[in-house]
Amino acid sequence: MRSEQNKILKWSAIFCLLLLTAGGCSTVEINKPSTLVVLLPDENSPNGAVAVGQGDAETVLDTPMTAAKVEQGGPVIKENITQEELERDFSEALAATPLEPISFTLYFEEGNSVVLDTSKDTLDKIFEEVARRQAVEVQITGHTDTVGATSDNDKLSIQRAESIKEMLVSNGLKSNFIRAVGRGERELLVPTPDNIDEPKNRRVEVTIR
Amino acid sequence: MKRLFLLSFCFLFLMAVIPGSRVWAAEIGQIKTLKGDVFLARDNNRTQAQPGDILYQADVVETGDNGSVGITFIDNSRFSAGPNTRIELSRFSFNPTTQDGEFITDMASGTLAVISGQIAKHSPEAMKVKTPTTILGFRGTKAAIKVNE
Repeated sequence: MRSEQNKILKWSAIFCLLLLTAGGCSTVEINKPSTLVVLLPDENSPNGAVAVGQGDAETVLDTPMTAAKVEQGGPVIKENITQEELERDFSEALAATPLEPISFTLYFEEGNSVVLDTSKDTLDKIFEEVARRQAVEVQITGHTDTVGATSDNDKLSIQRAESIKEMLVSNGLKSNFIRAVGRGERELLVPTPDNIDEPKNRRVEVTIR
Repeated sequence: MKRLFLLSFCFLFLMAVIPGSRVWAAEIGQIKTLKGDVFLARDNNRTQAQPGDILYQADVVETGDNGSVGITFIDNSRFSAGPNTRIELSRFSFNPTTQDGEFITDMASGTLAVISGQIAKHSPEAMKVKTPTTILGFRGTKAAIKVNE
């Protein structure tokens, strides 16, 4: 009889302890906001880093697949993270990543807005790129070399951009956003002094986003 | 002539005072990918977002239980958010010529993958994500962020 009572007491105690532990744990999880940040591999910028601030202190994440966890008022805890852990938390976010913006360059005859024959293949590539994207923006920026007056080059650069826009639109480019601007001789691809005939600077850049 | 002047004045006045009219605001990005419930909150209006929607500084983007969304910004930064995420695009400025700019996002909850663009490349840490527990400064990189409320 006595041992029976003891048994019940013992199990009730264990049950209560379990309840308390579970309750305690979940309270901690709910009440403490936290941030987890993972540095991802980036082939385009291998020296990338994220600075994680906590009060006046700063922790730098500079190795891909390392993570920092920051609780309210707590220290920054660094840890390694596996591909599985990354996918568990971020598969949906990562799957929604938009395609990388891409730029094409087309070159022009000297002093006019006639695109070079060698650049005409680029037009096909632009169409292919636009076709595989949704909600696509096409930004067309015209440039000149440094021959001639700045104001003339401003006009020529916008003419070059408009001529490419016209070619794309008349060939049925489907974009909800297409914009042509001219930058004159302000953004040289190859830096030169004034009045230098530089074929690489006579160009239109088309950015597809 | 006088009437035309008055009419155009009225038009401009209305555009300036009607909340939500964005005559003077600059585009900062566009929604490119979208799944499930995604909402766009702007000037006390909350609407269902669509691919192609243009975003402005101070917009709030929210995803539901089944939602995800991908955004490309004009400096070529990219964001993609998983379910139950709330971000506010608090500050964004970018000069395409000098590439100077600032990009500050307030993230209240959820998951967000970030690929930094020209703003972070040109001025390290001009791109920041603030969460309830930390401030993250981006030095040209990709990262994933999860905020537990």
